[in-house]
Amino acid sequence: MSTSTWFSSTMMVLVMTGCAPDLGETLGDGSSTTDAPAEEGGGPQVQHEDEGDGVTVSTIDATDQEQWIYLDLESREQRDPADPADSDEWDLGLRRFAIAINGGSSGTGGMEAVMLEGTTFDAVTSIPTEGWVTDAPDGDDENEDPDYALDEWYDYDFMTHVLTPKPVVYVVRTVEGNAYKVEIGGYYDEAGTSGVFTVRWAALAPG
Amino acid sequence: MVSAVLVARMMAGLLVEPVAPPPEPVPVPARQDDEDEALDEPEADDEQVRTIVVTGTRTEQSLADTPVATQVVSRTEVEESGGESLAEVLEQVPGVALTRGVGGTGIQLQGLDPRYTLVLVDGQRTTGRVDGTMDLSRFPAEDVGQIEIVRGPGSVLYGADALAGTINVITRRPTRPHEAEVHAAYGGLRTVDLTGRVALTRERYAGSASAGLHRTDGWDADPSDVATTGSAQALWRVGTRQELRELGPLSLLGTADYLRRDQSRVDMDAAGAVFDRRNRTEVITVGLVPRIELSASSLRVSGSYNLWRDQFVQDQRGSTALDQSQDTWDHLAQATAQYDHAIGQHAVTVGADLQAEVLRSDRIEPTRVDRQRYAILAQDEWTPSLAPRVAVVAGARLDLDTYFGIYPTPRIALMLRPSERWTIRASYGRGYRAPSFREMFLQFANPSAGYVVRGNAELRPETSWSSSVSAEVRPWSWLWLSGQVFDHRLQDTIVVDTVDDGGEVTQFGYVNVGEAQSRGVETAAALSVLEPLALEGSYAFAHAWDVENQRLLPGRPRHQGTAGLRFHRRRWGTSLRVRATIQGRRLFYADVDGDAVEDEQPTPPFATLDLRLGQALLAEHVQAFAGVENLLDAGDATTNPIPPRTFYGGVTLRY
Repeated sequence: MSTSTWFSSTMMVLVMTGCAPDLGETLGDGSSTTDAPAEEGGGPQVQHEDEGDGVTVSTIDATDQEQWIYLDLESREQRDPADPADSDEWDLGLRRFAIAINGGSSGTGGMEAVMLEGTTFDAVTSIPTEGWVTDAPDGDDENEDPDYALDEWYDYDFMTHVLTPKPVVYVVRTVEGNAYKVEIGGYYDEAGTSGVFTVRWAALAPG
Repeated sequence: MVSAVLVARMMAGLLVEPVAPPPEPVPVPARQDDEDEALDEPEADDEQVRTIVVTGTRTEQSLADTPVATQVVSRTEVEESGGESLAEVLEQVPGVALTRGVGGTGIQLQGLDPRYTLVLVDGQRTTGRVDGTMDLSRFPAEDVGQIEIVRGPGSVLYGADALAGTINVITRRPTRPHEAEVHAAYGGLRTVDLTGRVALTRERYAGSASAGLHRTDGWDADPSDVATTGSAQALWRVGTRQELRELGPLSLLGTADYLRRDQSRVDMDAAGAVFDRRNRTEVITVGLVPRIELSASSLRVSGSYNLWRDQFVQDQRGSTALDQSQDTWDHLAQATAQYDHAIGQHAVTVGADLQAEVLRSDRIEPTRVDRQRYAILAQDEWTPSLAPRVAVVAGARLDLDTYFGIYPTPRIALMLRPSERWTIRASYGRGYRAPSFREMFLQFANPSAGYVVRGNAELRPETSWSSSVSAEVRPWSWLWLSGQVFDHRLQDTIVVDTVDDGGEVTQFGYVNVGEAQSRGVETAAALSVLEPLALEGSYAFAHAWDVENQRLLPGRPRHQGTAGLRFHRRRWGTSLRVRATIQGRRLFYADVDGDAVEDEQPTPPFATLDLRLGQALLAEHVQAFAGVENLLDAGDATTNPIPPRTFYGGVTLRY
């Protein structure tokens, strides 16, 4: 084999190999996109499941970085208010780890909430008489977020960045004046995606 | 290319001519007439004289005479190691510690991280660092002719990133008129290594082509969860090297290489999300080196292009919320002109390097960035005395980077050989490491792990001053000893700092606030008591200190050692090689008790033991081999993810 033939044939091999096919196209092939079907629709990002004894377990997909997911407790419907800051359509708003109530700095619905420690969801049967607060503008703390009435719901692990619900129960008084007890059950879906809340809640009879 | 030649010529004119002519004829530069001196030397010194190295001074010299201490892994040692990749070969080399992380397998030299070691192939920079690490497992061993390791700053010759050291992989050259080789091995984890090579040498031509296929299953050191520890891998490459020489004073070398690697593994995050991760990496390298040799001078011009492309896909099981797909293209073009001239006792080198890099990645903002680097360098190797041999190398390099401006890196190195038994070397120099594009422009959010990393375009290079003194002694023909002390002082080191810790998402950013030191000792001994039996051992100590945080730098052993035994009876064609490595305790830091203060997390020392038995057959045309790697089955899933114990066997056919 002559030198030039040798040279050109080896170079040809290299040229013909070219670049590899795209890996990205293999994503979203359905093999691992099995989101659980809704038990009962409350909206595109909200699903409810009745646990009995008037307790609802809602799964709320608040994974979006920008979009708030609004929920009206009485109707159990997901809402999409045109102007959430001036709307009585919603009670709870969720975005990532933030939970807003329709009151104070978050809305004009006049909502308030109480955080109860050292108790359990089932043990809360009456409406507290004191400790009511509402959402407030950012105060003197580490972050730059508003001081939500429900901003103490989690423990944060600095090493793993995992959020774990604290053993607390909130009681909220809605825009319509009804009281509900609310417990955050989890922040991750079965696939481990963060921003997917599991919320247990039930109405409290006026006492 | 033409402009590079012109620049080199202009610089040659500028820098060489003012040197005063020698007062009287003196011997030709030392490196050419050493063979007489070596005649009475012990056998291993002959090997030192025969071994040509290039990395320490950018000029070809014998290993015995190079003024810059160089550690060499020969082709024979590469084959005897049984390593199929650069990582597997280097893990047995004295004074080398390997790290395994998201960036792959990196090298720690003298207590410093992989980002401080420059990796060259035939003197050209390689590209594709991930997380600061050049993944040594991506370089297949079949085309490695020789590995040269120079410890200490090499920025004076090669510019950025050579603070702790420089590794130069010299690809194989044809040595005989016809060569053909087929190598096949099969082992645990269904590991297949299949390589082939042909080469042809004529009076004025040398050409070779080689190809390799390497695949292995992944492995899992912790079966209690679904995540795996080591990636499954399939890698193949083809390459060629074509050289036309002695066309008058001209010779011409062209190289081309293509490599593709697919890796896959299963990851799990702290929240329980499970990901199928895949990477497809491609590397294309093309080089062209014309060279003009005159009687006392040579001009070499080289151009090369290197593409590293990595496609990364993360597929979340049970959801698409955390799926990711990223495509990264890293182009690096280099042009070099180097002129070497011998004048009396001086061997002068001047050169210019041009470098252009373009990175396209979804993870950076803007998604396409580029930079250029222009450098000139000058070096004088002065050999005032041949017996005893004294050599002094003084050099300086000036890098102009389009981001950081000018960085000067001087170095002085000295060699003394008071008698044929002793060699003493010392060097003092400056190194620098340019911030990577990722450190400057990264925009990476990991919502599942809850952090954001932002690049900092204002970063300055990291710099160092380093010194070392080493000695080699051969008191008797059967014993060789070496020792080195080193001291590195790094300033402006780049660390990841918390920019904002509020809420769920921690924001990290890069800042030039660190300061580090690494100092220590490296020693080695080799002895051959009986003809077929050779023993070797090494011990290294490195005290690597984080000055900013007043604590040891994490993840590196203070003590490490190697021991080796080699039995080779040529008449029988039998060889046995036993290698052991020991790595001392390493410290990591993590907040385990939730008080927001990092606690020391020591990892226990570990040892690895490899055995390999070889038998030559049919006049050495056939080499059969079998062995075991990591016989003690060291390693775990978190701090020491090394492959488990594997047995292998195979055959190499040579013509």
